[in-house]
Amino acid sequence: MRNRAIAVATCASAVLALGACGQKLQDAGPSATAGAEPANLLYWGKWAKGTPQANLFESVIADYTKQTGVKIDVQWLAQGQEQQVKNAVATGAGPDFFDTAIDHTAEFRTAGVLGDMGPIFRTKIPGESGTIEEVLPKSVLKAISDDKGYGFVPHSVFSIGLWYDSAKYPDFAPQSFDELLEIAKKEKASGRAPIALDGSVNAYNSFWIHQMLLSTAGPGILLKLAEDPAAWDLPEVKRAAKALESLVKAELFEPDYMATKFPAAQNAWAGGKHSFILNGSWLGSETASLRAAAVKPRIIAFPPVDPAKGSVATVGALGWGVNAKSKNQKAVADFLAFAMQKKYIDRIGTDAANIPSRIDSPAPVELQQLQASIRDAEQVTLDGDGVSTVKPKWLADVFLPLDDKFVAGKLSAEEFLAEGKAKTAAMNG
Amino acid sequence: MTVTASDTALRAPSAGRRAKVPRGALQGERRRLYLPMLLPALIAYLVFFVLPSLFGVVLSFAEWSGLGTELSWVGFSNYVSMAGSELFRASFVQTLILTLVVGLALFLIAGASMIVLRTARGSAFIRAAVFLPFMISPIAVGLAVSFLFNPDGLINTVLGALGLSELRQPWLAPELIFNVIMAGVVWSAAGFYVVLVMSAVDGIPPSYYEVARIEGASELQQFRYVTLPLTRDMLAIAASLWAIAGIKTFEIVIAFVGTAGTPPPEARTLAVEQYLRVTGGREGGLAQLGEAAAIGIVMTVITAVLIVLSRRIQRRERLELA
Amino acid sequence: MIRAGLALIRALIWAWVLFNVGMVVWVLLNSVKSSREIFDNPAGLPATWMWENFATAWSDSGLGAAAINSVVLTLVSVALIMALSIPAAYAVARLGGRSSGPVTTFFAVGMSIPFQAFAVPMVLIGAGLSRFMIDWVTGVWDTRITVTLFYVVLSLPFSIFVLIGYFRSLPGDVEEAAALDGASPFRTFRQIMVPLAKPGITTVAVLNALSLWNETVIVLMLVPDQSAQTLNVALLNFYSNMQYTSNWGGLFAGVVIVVLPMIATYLWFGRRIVNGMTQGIGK
Repeated sequence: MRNRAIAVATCASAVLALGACGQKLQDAGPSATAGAEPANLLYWGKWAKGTPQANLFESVIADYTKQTGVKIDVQWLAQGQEQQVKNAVATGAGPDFFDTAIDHTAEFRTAGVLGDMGPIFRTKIPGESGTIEEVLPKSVLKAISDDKGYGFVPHSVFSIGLWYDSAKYPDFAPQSFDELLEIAKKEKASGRAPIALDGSVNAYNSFWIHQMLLSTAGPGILLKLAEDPAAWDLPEVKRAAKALESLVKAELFEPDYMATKFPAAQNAWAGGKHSFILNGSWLGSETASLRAAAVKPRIIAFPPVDPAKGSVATVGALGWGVNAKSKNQKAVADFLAFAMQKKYIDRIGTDAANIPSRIDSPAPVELQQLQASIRDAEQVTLDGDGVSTVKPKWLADVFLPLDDKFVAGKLSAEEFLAEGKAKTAAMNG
Repeated sequence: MTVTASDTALRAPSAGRRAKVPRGALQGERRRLYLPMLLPALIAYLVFFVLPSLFGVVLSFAEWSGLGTELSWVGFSNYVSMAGSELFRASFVQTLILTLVVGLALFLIAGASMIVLRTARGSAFIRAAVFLPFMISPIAVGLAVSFLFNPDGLINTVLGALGLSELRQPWLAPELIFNVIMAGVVWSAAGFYVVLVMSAVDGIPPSYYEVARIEGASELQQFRYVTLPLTRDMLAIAASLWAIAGIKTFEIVIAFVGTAGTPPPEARTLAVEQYLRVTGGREGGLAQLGEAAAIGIVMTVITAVLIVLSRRIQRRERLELA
Repeated sequence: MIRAGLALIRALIWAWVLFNVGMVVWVLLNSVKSSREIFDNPAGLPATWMWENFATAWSDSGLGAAAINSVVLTLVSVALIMALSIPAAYAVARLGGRSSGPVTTFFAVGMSIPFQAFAVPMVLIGAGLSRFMIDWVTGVWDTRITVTLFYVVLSLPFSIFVLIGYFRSLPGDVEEAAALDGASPFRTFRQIMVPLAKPGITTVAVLNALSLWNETVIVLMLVPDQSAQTLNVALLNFYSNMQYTSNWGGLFAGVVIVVLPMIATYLWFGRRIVNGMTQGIGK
């Protein structure tokens, strides 16, 4: 037992190092000498032990080993896992497959970790009629792709939407942003601060302007704003900015929202102090242990500023990426197809309270409306239009600070647009 | 006789500094001991720390996102774009302000403790208690911040209860956050410097104070003529240590405003700015290691200047005293 | 006037002490509250004492193995740091001639190098070192050895810098007396100067132990295997999974598990520092 522990530790270091150990073990190990025997796989996960996801994947792996005899060595790396995968693969080693998410595809791609995943997506799922590609919604397939194809096999999907308390608003279905504004104003008139916001998290502040821009100017608008100063003059952009301005001016956010310490605002919302919060689909499970008994949280897609335009869903996903340099591509594909069976992906909804990636796996009740919106969306985009991976500097240095001031009410819509245009021009020039 | 006490005190360290020992054979023996004692540490430091760090200098002339990505040479463009960046200039100025303001506060606190703590009852306990922030994990500090400084947090509640409602503030809002962070840095760092200078005070033979007391020196006079001259070296060390730590201020900013998302520009120090370049600004952004390295070079240069300055000042004071 | 000023300083210091103790009590109380209560009732006593928070924290975040790693890594590193830095600092402070000024500055500059600049070369060296050892020397390697190596070299500048100052501030006449008594320079160092410097040495050792105990980034970068990671990294992993577990009470229990041993150690050493002083002066 002790020797094994040492061997694992040694192997881990060597794998991280330069692949010497991984290859050596495989050269010398039984799997390589006996040609017929299946290859063993190495999986570097990001979940901490004890999380529902870690438990689920461990049981999938146990089932798979029992059925096929293929051993899968799981190592939960948690923090810094992406960096370790990149370092290991760059030095010629690394796991056969690993945990990843949409916002990491670009860095893995740049680091040469990812290859063509087409064959994996065309693998048939055991015991079912379809392939991996066929059980996923079009919107999700589009979201997980970049110009070189699929980035990873998704098991969970997340999105951005408006959380509300269905105990207080049983028939809540605003058709437009203006309707939402009216409902919130009414609630404010009754003496409650309707909308919670952790204003010290600039990404959460930016959800507002981004969701509004999506409905007026369509997906990819943030990228346009980052690349072209002239985009700041578009009437659609102005319309969204005006909408946000009206919300800020009506003072519908909780008092001193720019000074709350995360997660104070979302906890206050879960405790029933505020009715609405614009946030990710993860917020329900994130605040579950803090929820007041009377609160029944639900999430819907953000009501459009311009109801005449088609719906745009913001889609994110978590899943498994495959090391392009792994010699076990076929074995990895077989395992991932096995893991994508409905009975396992269903448990993303039941065990982990997330939206499952498969089109036929139901989400938990609070997420079902949003799941339907993702499935039916005419257009999809990534969180923040993916600008954080393409134009990280513009986002961090120009857009987010400016947006913070705008959401705080320190800039008018006109000032926001004028400064945004000038600063973007300065950065790109 | 009072003169004698302070005289001894003044002479003792300077005698030590010049290491007045009999010349000749013994001096030679001491010289021969110098390298064997110094070299193991010096070599380890040189090979595993200094040489790898020089890589950072090289990197500051490149554009690189880490292992596995392409590295391209860009000359001085990292430095040029830094000079033109409003955010860099803001974080630069903020770092200097923080280092100076907090440094002054720390100096006053350490001085006050040296007067009071040497004789105070429960001195060991006090030292342990003021040192606590150094031991508490930033995670707990971050959570405590929300408990204290939230709009409906403890501080505003207490102010309201005391009838001082007009003093209630949105403490963590961008306009105030930097001041709150500076107070937080003072709180977390002061214990460290108190313990450090007090260890030097402990090293002063109690007989010096006895002599001074017999001569009728007050607590302040004892401080002025015994404690201060005998701890001058440690105070200089502490000043240098703070210059270094102040320029690198990082974790506490993250604990105050960065547990989710990126700190607002008003709260960023150079180290935070550098960290944002290393991580690519947010989850998933590409690292800009070249720019991060350039910021690191700037930080190292500022610190080196501060250290040299403080050593200069120290030397001048020594000359004036002599 | 002066007396009033001193009294005010004393009062302020006690207020500071109370605040810090209050914060520790707050952390302790939160560690036995339910997650909801931590936010709903942050200042009061828990309604039900949730001792099971400690059990969940211990089992869910693998704190057991991590605790052993933390203890061993910290102790071994501090021992090596002191073994290297005490002689070096003494040499610079007491034996060096003209070169001691530049050498001091050389070590001081090391403290100013921001860690981020060092991170990439560190990973490369770590990788190269373990491959070299496995291929050519021992056949096995443990990443924790690499961590120890970097812990030691990264702590050297601070330790040596402070100890130089400490050795310099010691009265020189003791050394002279020993030399006149015929003690060899090395014996003077070992039997007279080191005991005399004990408060400073203990302080530096304790400060190193505390900061290494709290270190996370180096372990994260060099040790991929969770079973070889330290307490703080385990706690950080636990924290970063709050999004999926929402176990705030457990998180505070984890903080307590990490912090309490340090406080105990520090209190114990605090007394030793005072003892060291009286011993050192030989009274």
